[in-house]
Amino acid sequence: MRWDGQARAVTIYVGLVGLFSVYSSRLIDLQIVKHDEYTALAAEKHNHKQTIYARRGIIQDVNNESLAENVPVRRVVADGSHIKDPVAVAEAIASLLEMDPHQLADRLNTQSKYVVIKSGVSEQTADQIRKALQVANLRGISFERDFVRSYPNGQMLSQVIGFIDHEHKGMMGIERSMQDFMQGTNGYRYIEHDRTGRELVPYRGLETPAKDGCNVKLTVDLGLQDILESELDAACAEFKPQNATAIMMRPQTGEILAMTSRPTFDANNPGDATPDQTKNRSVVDMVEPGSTFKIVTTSAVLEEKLVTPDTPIFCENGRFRYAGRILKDAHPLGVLTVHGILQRSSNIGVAKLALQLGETKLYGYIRRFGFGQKTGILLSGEIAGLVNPPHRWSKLDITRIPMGHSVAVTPLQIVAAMSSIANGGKLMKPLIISQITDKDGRPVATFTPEVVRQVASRETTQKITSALKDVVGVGMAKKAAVPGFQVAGKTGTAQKVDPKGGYMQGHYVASFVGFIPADDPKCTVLVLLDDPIRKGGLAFGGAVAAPVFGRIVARAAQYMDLCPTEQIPSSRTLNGSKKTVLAQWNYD
Amino acid sequence: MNRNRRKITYSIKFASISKVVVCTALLASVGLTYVYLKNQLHQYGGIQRRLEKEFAELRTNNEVVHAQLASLSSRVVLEKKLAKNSLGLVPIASDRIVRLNQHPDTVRDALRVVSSRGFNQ
Repeated sequence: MRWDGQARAVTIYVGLVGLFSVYSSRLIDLQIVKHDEYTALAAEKHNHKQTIYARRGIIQDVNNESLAENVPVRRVVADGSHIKDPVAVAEAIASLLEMDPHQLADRLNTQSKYVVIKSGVSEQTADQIRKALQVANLRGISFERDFVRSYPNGQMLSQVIGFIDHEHKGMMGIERSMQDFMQGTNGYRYIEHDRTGRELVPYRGLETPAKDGCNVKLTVDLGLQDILESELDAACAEFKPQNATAIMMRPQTGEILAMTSRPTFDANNPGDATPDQTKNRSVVDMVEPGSTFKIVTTSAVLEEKLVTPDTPIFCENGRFRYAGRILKDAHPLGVLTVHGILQRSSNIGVAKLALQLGETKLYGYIRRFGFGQKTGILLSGEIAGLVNPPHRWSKLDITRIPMGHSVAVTPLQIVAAMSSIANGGKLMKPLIISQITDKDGRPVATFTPEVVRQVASRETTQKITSALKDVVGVGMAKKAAVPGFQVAGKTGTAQKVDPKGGYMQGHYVASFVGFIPADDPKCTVLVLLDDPIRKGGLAFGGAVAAPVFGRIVARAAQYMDLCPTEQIPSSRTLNGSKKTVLAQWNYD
Repeated sequence: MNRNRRKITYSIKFASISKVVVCTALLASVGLTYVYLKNQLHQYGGIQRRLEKEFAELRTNNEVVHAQLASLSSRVVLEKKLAKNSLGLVPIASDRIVRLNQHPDTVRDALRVVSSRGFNQ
């Protein structure tokens, strides 16, 4: 066969057409058929979603003192696929990270692209590591932004503020209840980087900016908090209670000025704390209130005009048989006025008042004073307490509930109820947050005082206040008195409930709740000590909690610059002329 | 004249050459401009990245300092320092306070009538 020119040309032509067809089909395969697959592959290699981190909001007290801050730190991350010499990398950075070089080398000897080496590394250390790696010309270690929460005041107010977990989620207190406001929203941007990993800024894709979290301002005043905590610490050292709670509230507005419990914990080291320490007992614990609860029954009978403050009630000389059981008073008492029943804290007297009132009305007033329902304070874990409806009462309950037995209430409910007596009968919703602002200080939400309901008339509360003044002035709580001021308050001594049933002999929950100045109250304070030990006597509220209350309000009055309402003669003189010096309480 | 001897002139067509040159120059300059602008873009991208990094570092340092400030000026730390340094600072005892005027609470928001009579004597 002869190859003539035409045949050769045709062969070459067909060959070329075939070759280009192969190339073309491959191009079509790459560009069209597998377009999405290869685009995704390219994007995976060069495109990256970069997170823009939002800053968590801070917490401040009413005077803008810082309670919770963010400290920026770095998370050290290794990309095993880029580490050629794990031993060299480990030797370069182990000492800076305070880690064992051998263990670190083992961890770096991986093909995994994301290995967290250490979290919470300071910016300064991160810089040193960066420089050490540059000098040794090593790759594969990167630094991610992170932060740790810092609580500058440590233990102070820790149960109210709470803390966050390793994922920066609020676990307790304000950190938890305000989580949605404070956490912010991370932003992101899509970026492309070159083969050295450097971002190609002109090819930035979609970008969504981060939204920083809001700042939270509390109603708490750290000055008053300091007073409350130091006095409660002193009381715990003296009486060694199992636990203790103290709350200070502004009665007109319901603002919480200070709140604390013992035992407590350091919010900077929540891992070291026991559940008992982290508990904010003011809202998550319930106790039998004891005699402080007598204000409810007394207010109810006065409000219903069943009696007047001067109505005489026979107190059965200390022994009152009802429903087959004997109710006793601490001391035998004869005929007392209603005013006197509250002043002398007669169990029998108040039981007789409750019998006049009836179960349904008594229950109604207990609920009106806010017991058996959550106060609505913006703190996590609040409980409602336990107040059974009348159809679940035993025959005996009508005589026990008025003196604060057979009911369980939170310390905050007691303070709120006493504040309603102090402010003319308005039950205020407790406020712990005054304002939420954005990162530039613009208000996002402002919390204003809220009246829940009018629980009693002003006339009634004035009558109760008059009796409560006598509790401190001439009654059972003289140790709660503050020179220069009229103090109104009520002691409470409840026998501790035995988990096995009944009550524990010789174990009490001693409390005192009151307000100052009695006629123009600026603060209501509750001091509650669970099972205190008093040398040389029983741990009654008047003997144990009342003096603590007295010391707290004396210091608080000075801090709040309250003007003494009563003159106290003093030997001090001013410019040679005799002057009257007011308020002589001792700071220490 | 013999046809082969006829003088044939091939004149240079400047117009068409110019067109080609201009077009080429234009294309070249467009290309170079494109490259130059792209380089500029990358350069400014680099500057932007550097400035963003600096800004982020400043912000971070600011937050670190802010947290340190809050920690150092916290009530607890100040009280510890007070105790440690034994400065002898104690709260003013109440019996050292003499009130000469009405309590400011009652007059804080009210207009106060003042008299300067005898003030200059």
